[in-house]
Amino acid sequence: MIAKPVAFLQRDLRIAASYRVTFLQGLVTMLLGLVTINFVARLVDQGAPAELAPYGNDYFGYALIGVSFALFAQSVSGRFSSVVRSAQVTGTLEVMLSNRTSLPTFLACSSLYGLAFGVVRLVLTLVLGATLLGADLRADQAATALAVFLLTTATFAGLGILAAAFVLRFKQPEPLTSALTTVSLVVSGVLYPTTVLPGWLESLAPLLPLTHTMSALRSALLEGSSTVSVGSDLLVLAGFAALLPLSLFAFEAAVRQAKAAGSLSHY
Amino acid sequence: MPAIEVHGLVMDYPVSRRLAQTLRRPFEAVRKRVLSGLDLTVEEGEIVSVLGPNGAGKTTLLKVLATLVRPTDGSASVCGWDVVAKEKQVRTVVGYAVSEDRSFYWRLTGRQNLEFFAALNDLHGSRARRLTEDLAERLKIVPYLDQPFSFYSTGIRQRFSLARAMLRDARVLLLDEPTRSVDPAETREIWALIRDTLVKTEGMTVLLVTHQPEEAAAVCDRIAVLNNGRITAQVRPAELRRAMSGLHGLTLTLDGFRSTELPRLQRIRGVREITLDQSDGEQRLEVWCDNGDLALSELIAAVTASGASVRGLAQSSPVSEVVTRLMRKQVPT
Repeated sequence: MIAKPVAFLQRDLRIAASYRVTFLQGLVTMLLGLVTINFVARLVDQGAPAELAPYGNDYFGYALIGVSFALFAQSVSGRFSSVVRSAQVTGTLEVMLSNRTSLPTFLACSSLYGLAFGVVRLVLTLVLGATLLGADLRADQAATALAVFLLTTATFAGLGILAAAFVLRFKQPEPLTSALTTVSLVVSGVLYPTTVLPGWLESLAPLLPLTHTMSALRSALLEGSSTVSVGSDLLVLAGFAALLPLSLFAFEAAVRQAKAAGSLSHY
Repeated sequence: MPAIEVHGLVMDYPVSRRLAQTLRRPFEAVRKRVLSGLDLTVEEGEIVSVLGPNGAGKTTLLKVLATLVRPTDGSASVCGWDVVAKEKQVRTVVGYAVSEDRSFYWRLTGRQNLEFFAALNDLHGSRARRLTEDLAERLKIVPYLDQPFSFYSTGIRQRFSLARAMLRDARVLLLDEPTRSVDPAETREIWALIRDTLVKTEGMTVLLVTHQPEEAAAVCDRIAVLNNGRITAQVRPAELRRAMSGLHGLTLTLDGFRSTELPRLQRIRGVREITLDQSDGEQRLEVWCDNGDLALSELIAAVTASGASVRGLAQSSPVSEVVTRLMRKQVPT
């Protein structure tokens, strides 16, 4: 049952370990990003903007949650398409699909390392931010945060698998996840509350899943709100998470189409 | 029950169109037919080679049997399992060795690669390790197992590709150009491995694609010639050799030869067929004769007597020639 995921994790860990500089670079970038946010937060906190009042006037905590979860969502959504694209380019896709591994297992296991790396980076960022740089994160609503995290993962995995289906269908890098990440960065309240946006742009925010992730997480981790209090955000995220089975269906359809067109290995 | 049965197999690939064409006829599907009603049967324990020009549909045929391409029409089955309706079952009995060596992870060692691909076939832990060791022993790649894949020569990579195809209870092996870019010594070893180890000892059925008629004739039980998406001829190497027995092929490169002299050369004793090829600015005389030495000396004498000179001489392989002609549907007389 767990042998296949372990084999994929082992493979990806070994490959990642063979690129030591890239691995270290990722770690250093994370730490520097954390320090940068901390300095920006010091500047912002001096002005004590009214928009931050609901979050206890703690910009560092606000931005820490925003940036770390936005990066996590980005890594989840981008992972599936990059795995498929890389398998197409290296020629391993056909070999994978001519074995006894089902499509959902192939997708889940191939993305496991990226997801695990994303989780480790997320936890490390939050822990370092809280312990070394003084972010005031509350642990009493960890269960609520966990629920948000799981629904966010399912939502962005669904979007990611849709993007992977796009890669298979159109044989080119997909624009969906990067477009979604860019728009979310502007509109979803990652670095600033959505209330500072112009009215028309603010009205777009609820349409994006990351907006609800940000809102629910900050309520839980900065204000200590319970699961019931963030229920509406959780419901919306659950709606988005329904994409996951649909995206699997779309991916299977893309594989069928690629087999019928004989283009599984084309890129 | 045959190991492979293919009936009326048709495969149409969609053709990408220019924007202007798409706008003119947005709903028209343009397709290119690669396989057009192909029939082929391979018995258990048989080793069959598919030969054909580039684009004839050889790799497509292998991919259909490996469930990587879904045929447009017709049927194909492996060990009784239909490749469309019983995809999963087919994948348990078919091993597909691609000639594309990029399909391995070059940052990993050969062992790590094989153990990973074993896991994809539900072989884990000590079972996967034992099978890897066992295959490495049989395919003579033990010394390479713990070296990074990027260090291997093309021949060793081909062996690893064979090993990977056998990481399951494969009864049928599909090999796509197993000796591509491999030097002659390594080529001989790979063919011996396929013939003696995989087929004779293990009792596997092998369907392979190659561009080397001589090698196919030396190793296979049967050669199937694929042209324009159909099997146009099937011959057994023994029949081929018998038909070609005593036949010699010569190619003379000439200067200043007049084509009006050809009938005179055709009358030389032992010459069966003679053609003059001037397609790329050079004059090449292609000759098939019963007695190479005798005909050659008479040919050279006749050519020089006509005022032309002989710049080069090469021998042609009868097997290659016959297969090439079968591909062109010009069966020799």
